[in-house]
Amino acid sequence: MAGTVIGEGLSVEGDITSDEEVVVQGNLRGKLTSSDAVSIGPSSVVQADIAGQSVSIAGQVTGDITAPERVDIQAGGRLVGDVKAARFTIADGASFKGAVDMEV
Amino acid sequence: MSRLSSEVSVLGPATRVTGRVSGEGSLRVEGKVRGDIQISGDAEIAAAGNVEGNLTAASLDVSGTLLGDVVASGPVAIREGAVVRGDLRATEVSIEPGSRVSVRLMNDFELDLGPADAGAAAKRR
Repeated sequence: MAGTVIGEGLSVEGDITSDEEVVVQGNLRGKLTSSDAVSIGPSSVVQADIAGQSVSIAGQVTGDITAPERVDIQAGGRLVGDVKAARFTIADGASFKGAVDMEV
Repeated sequence: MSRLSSEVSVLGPATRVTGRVSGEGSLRVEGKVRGDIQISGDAEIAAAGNVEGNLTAASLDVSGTLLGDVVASGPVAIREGAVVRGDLRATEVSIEPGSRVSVRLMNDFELDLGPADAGAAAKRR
């Protein structure tokens, strides 16, 4: 199980800083920074810049995403914001609006 | 609390939250929270957990540190090793030996001044 879980129904307004895996199934407005993996669940609504080792998005995210490893937008996921990552995938059925920087 | 349901949120030991945490379900704090917590379910502050802010929950179980006021619709348990400072409003409060507590209890119940108390009062006269 992930180190930190923001469950469905829970809302965080503010900054989250972590050195462990963070799973967001609820709502977040602010900023999320982790040195480990971050995943945004399908029922989530997030308005935040997110930085993580890798970031997986299945919910609705508005904000810039930075990940040294990879960013994945899952089917049904929606991202409005810029992505900076070494690897980036957008699944069939996902939506994305923003710029991509793969540091080439 | 150990249910792996999505209704139980966990702020892990390596996680710090600055801001407001609110909503449905229960919450276990193993890390650090600076800000108010307002949830419909049970709150637990683990031994390494640290909360600086006011807390509203159905119940509260503290083994860590809590600096702030508490409003609980159910019981509040302050465990061994806990550090708690603030006003407590709850249906019942238990404080274990080995905890450091500086609180004002504002409990919503009438003290039942039974026969034992009446006897003590008579003795004083």
